[in-house]
Amino acid sequence: MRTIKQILLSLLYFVVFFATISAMVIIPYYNNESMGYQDASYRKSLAGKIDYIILGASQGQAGFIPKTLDEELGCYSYNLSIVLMPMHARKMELEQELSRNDVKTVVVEVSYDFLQLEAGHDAAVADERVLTRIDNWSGRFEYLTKHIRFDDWLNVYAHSFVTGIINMKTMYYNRGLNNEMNDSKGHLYRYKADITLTAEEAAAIHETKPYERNFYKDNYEVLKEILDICNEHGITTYIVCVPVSDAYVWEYSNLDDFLQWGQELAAEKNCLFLDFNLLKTRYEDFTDKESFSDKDHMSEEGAIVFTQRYIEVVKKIEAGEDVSGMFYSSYIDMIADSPYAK
Amino acid sequence: MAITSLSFILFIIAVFIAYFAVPKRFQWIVLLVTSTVFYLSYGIKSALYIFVTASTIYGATRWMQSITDNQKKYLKENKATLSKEEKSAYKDKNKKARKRIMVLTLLLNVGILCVFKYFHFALEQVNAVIGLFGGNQISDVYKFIVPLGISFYTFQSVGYLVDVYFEYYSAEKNYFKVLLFVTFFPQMTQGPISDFEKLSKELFTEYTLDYKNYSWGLQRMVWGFAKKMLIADTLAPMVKDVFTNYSQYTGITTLIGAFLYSIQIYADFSGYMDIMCGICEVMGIKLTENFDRPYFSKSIAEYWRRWHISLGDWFKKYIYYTIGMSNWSRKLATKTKDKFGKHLGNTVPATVALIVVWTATGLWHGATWAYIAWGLVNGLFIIFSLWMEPVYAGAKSKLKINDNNWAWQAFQILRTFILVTFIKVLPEVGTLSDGIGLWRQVFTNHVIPHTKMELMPYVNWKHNVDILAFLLAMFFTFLQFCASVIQNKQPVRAYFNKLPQVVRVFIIAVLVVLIASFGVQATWDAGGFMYANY
Repeated sequence: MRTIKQILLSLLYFVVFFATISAMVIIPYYNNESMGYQDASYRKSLAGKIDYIILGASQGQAGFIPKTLDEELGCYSYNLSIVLMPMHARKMELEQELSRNDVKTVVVEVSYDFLQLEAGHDAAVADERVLTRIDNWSGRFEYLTKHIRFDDWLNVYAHSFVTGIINMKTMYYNRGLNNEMNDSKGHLYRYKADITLTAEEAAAIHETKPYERNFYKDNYEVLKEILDICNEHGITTYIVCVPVSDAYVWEYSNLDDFLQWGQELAAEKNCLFLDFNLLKTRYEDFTDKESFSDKDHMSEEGAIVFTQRYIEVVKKIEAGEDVSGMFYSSYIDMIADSPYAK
Repeated sequence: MAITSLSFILFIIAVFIAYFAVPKRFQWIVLLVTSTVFYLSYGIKSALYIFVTASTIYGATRWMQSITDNQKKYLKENKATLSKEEKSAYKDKNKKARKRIMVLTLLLNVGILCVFKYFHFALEQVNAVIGLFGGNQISDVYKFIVPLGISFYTFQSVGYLVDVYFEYYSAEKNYFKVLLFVTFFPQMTQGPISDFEKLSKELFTEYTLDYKNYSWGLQRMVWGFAKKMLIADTLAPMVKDVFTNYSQYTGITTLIGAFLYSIQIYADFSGYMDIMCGICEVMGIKLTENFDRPYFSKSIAEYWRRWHISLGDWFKKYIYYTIGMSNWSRKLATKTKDKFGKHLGNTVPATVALIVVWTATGLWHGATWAYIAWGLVNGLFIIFSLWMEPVYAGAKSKLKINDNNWAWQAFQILRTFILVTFIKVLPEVGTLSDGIGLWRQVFTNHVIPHTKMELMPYVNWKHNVDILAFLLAMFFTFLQFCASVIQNKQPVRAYFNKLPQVVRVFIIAVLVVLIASFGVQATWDAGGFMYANY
């Protein structure tokens, strides 16, 4: 009995110390909204205003500039995208915004591999960021238990604690000072990098990465649910693929299967699929030298041009014009014009 | 079920609760069930082989035991009627039968091990020979997934088989007890390679929950996780970077990378042992120790007596002594003694045995020429010091070097650590020529780095998380060094347990927070345990 008592006492001490140390670091991080992706309070303050939503991952976050959309389309847009944003988080955030805003348009940003993300390290990093975007502990607990695999709890804890420690000064003293991201309404500015391939590099990677529909089943189901929700609310929905670099496209094979998948999904869910990689002006508009920060993310220079092109296309669609002439009809045709093919 | 996962921690808690909740006579059954669950969590296919090994070893040992028992009974019953020659003939017949069973079982189990570990390597060599003569290469279409811990459990099982053959002890009657001996989860994947007689005493004794065991066991477990996750896994990507890019780095940068590798592999392997020994300690079970502060060794031979002790003991008992005690070895000893004197008479047969042992040790670690070379280099150092023993003794006496002098001891320790580091990296860089290339880089590139970025480019100096993680790794390496120094006089935990309980638990809680944060992040990039690949 004495042994049991001693063990229970030591466990009690342990739990108290562990919880206290963890709370001292994690609570300020979660509550003070000092990191760029923590915008719960800001979005709450925009309740009733938002009518145009971008729902995506890092490609969408870098590519869409809400302020330009607002000026040109006369809407009030917000870019909800964050790096590696899981599908269940997209659905959760969409539902939250629908509950407090009269949303007219939703852009669902998709990429070649966005449905392949499963539980594990990357998903845990993304889920941890989502947790910090939720503004109450019961919501966080619900998301943790419902959407995060048990073995990833440790990863989520690790990422929360380390981010908390590294940014402790920011957490304590710069409460709510993520204004840069708030000003950009969710858009993330990325610096340009010249990612042009040499002839040897291009030859070495050409068609080495086959596009495959090996989707993580849950992701695909949730994507369909998102599109259903949009339909139920009478929202105009565009499924959009933001341009990636020529180098990135050059690496893939079988991308026409991606195009077919997108078109089939859009037809099934009564919306439009717009793959801006196939824009006929892409080789003039976007160059690997200027328009990207890495192989599959736009730089600010690229994002400015892309947002304009997106607006042009959408305006034409809204005016009832046929935009199919603005796009290549297949990846095979598009890749044939690639600078790497010459 | 990864050892560093949350699932494993929950699994261990469940094992502890079940172990102490059941009546004591069933405690070993809890271990058997949980070991089976643990192994099955890695896949059923893999589990099949461990059951084949356990079953064949059980069958063979029981068969040999029945022959021995029947022989004893028969000889006792017919003591008066049998002549000396008849008794001898009867014994010989039985001995041959037992030998046949032992050899067949040995071939089967070592055969499985060889197919999984050495088939591709053997085929490569065959193809290389065919290539020399311009013949058609044999295509390697077989893709084997090496069963978890096969090198460890095969050696342990074979040891038991041979022990029963030599009648060191009787074969176990209960199949499930043999199954537990082979599959016991704390030691199945990376050892220690235990002796049946010793381990069975530990496994089948009944234990009561004891606060000291609980407390010391958990402390050791947490320290093991800290070594693995805060030291080894943090250093892993840096070491990988050095091994990949050594040709672009300066000699000093490469040398530091090699030393980091020595720290990494020790923290990784001994960390695993601490975790597993800690788990067992909570349950009252004492596992064979695999490390005895190996980096404080004064020679390569001593280092191998203190590093992966159970493997060294296995090779000594089953290979080295078997060769040393063989008739031809004795004849060789007699001949060399007659011709060259006592010293060489003893060292020549030992040299032959050592070459075999170290080639086998190299092969056990990996089916590559680099590992074979690594084994032979270790062996050659040991053989060289064996041959030179009288010369050393004479030189020391002339120079009046006292073995107990601390400076002499420090020199010996440092020299051994440097040598061990150079030998260790040989098979880890890639091919054998890569390993030699790294050595060459250390000795030929004399450029002096001027900044910390140049000195250690494998540390991400621009990223605060990485800098902090590296500093933590170095801090814990320093702590480990201090602990090893103290350990020489008294177990560190004896000092630690003099602290009040609340202080002890606070220190453990801080350690757990660091492991669960920086350690878990480091483990993302580093992957599993290094010795699980052997």
